[in-house]
Amino acid sequence: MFVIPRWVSVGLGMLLAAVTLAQAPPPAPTPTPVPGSMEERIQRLEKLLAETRAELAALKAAAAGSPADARLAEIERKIDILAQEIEAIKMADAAQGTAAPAPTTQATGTGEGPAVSIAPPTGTAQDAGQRYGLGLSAAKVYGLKRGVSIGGYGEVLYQNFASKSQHGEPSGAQDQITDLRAVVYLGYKFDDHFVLNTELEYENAVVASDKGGEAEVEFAYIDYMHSRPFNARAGLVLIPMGLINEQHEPTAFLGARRNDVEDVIIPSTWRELGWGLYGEAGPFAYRGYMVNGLNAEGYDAEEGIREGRQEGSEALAENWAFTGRLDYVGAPGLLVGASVFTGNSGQGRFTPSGEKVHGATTVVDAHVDWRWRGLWLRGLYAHTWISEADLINQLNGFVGDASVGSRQEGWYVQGGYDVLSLMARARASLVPFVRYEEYDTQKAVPFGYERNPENDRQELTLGLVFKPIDRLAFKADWQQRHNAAGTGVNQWNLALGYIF
Amino acid sequence: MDTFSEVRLPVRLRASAALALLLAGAAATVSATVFLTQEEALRLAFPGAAVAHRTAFLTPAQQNEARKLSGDPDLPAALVNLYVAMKDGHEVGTAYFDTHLVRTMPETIMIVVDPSGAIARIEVLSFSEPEEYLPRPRFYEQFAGKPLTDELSTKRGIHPVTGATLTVRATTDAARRVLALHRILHESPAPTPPAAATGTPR
Repeated sequence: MFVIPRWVSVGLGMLLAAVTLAQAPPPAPTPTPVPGSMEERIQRLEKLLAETRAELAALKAAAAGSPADARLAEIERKIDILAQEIEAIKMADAAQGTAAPAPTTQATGTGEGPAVSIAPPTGTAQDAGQRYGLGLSAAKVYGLKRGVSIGGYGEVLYQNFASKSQHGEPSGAQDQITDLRAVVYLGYKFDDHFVLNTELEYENAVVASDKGGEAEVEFAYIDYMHSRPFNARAGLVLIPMGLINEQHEPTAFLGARRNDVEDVIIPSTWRELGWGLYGEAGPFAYRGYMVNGLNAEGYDAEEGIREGRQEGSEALAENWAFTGRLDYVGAPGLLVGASVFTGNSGQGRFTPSGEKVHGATTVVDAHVDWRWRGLWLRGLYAHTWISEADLINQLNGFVGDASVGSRQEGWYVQGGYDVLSLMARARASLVPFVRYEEYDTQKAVPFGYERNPENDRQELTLGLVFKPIDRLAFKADWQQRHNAAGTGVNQWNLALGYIF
Repeated sequence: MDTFSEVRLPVRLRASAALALLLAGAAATVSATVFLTQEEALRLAFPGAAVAHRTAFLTPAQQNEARKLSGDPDLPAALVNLYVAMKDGHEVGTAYFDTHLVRTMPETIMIVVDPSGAIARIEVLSFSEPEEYLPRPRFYEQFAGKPLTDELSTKRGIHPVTGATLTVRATTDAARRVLALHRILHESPAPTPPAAATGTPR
């Protein structure tokens, strides 16, 4: 088991920072400035057009009735078009709320990547050139202006539960509708190298003692943009595992609810505090971070490691972990890769009998996502190993079939087809889909404990996603939720998702 | 009514100056990460060729036709700037620059159309969204040789990229928009000589 002593983690972090900063390229070449602000340029342009109009009017008066008159009318029409273009530019500027040139940091979302980051920064002309197949002399990267950015996404979810369970017993489940997520991205670009990305989230609308809502910082990190192969990141980061955790916006996945394998085995949205590197090399993309370890006190039989996430909130930092992923991204439409998280989770705790808990926890996954024409296929397998699960049971007071699983496992396959791809030039999409998943948070338990068959689950989801435009999704699906104990409760769901 | 500009002095000077200011203003608005300047992009696309800048003014009917051909919900701008490259007495391609929103921020791309009316290449000049939204070069290579048909779609002949869906869509829309404009401009009466030359890229 890969165990990282704390002093090694801290040392690696300092070394990484030193090396990264030492490699900082020289300042970017400054672009030749265009004199005056946008407002001044538009004013000059308007003045110029006004003079042109006056001159044209004089010419028209002189040429009245002659063949040149028609010619001048055409010129006048063209000037009108120029004037309309100016107007469009002015409106765009006003819409951005800037009299001066627009800010350059971005409002973003995890649906398509982390919140705010900037393409190759200062001194990376070579990388930009490589990226676009350009020669070094042909590619230049200029400095950027600074600014705040904003974006976000949201989801509303309605769940209707069957009145009876899998084996015909009353389910007791109550239907529910909730404003599941309302998220704001805020970003700030300090300079050409340093960018702040944050995601601030409300779940279930109201945060109060009598409500189930939560207010969370989903991520908040600083990116140091160095070059295409090497960039650094530090702060509250998304664990780079699976297909949902980093891309969890509602328009980015099929189904009203996220799949359960990536809710339980890979506990999305999973984020921890740490630092690391990311980038691309050849047809591969990678990310690798050192982060605070999980907290075994949160482990349980039903949800596995999910409540062991520390989420950046006064996280115990006695144990650290490594997490990373490697993806092949060389073919458009195809993403295939694997990821890992490994580290101790005892966080310095002892069992009632005085034994120190290490609780080494390793999660691995392999995933593939393939889109071809209207077809969208996705599959994932994930497995978790937890050592000293018996000590964790003692730590948490678990007995019998309430044991933490020493091995946990889940997988799913999903296929959808955009039927509107059969229609020429359809901009909307309508995707019927099917997903089958299995997961078990007690694939194995320590000697002396028992498995609870309720945790051996199988789910079939049949659904439909309609997107009138890229950024809006209306979803409906039916889920058959079975388990080995026969107590599963089916449900159907409706959801509305949006990004901006 | 002619499509291409052949404005003469003194109004021609005024219009050219106005256009130059307009372009300067537009460039300033798109304060993004700049990978290539316009000149560099043209030099990259047309090595050793003479490139001439032309300005075309669409009639309302042409705008509607372009929208219909491209499938774009919005009317294209009436003002079109194009760059025609000539080498050894033959036209080798036409470049268009398209600025559009990706998610909330703009990007500018150059789309080069070959003499047959198909896409020759696409280059990203500037991009304001996160780099994670920016597809890799292999994505852009898919466009080469594609004419304006129903296959030029992310639902058909253009394979999307996981994590860059909006950029993929925006790029494909721009490609269709440009090919529609190119077809309309080349179906219109014979273009007049270039309004202004940008010189021969070295």
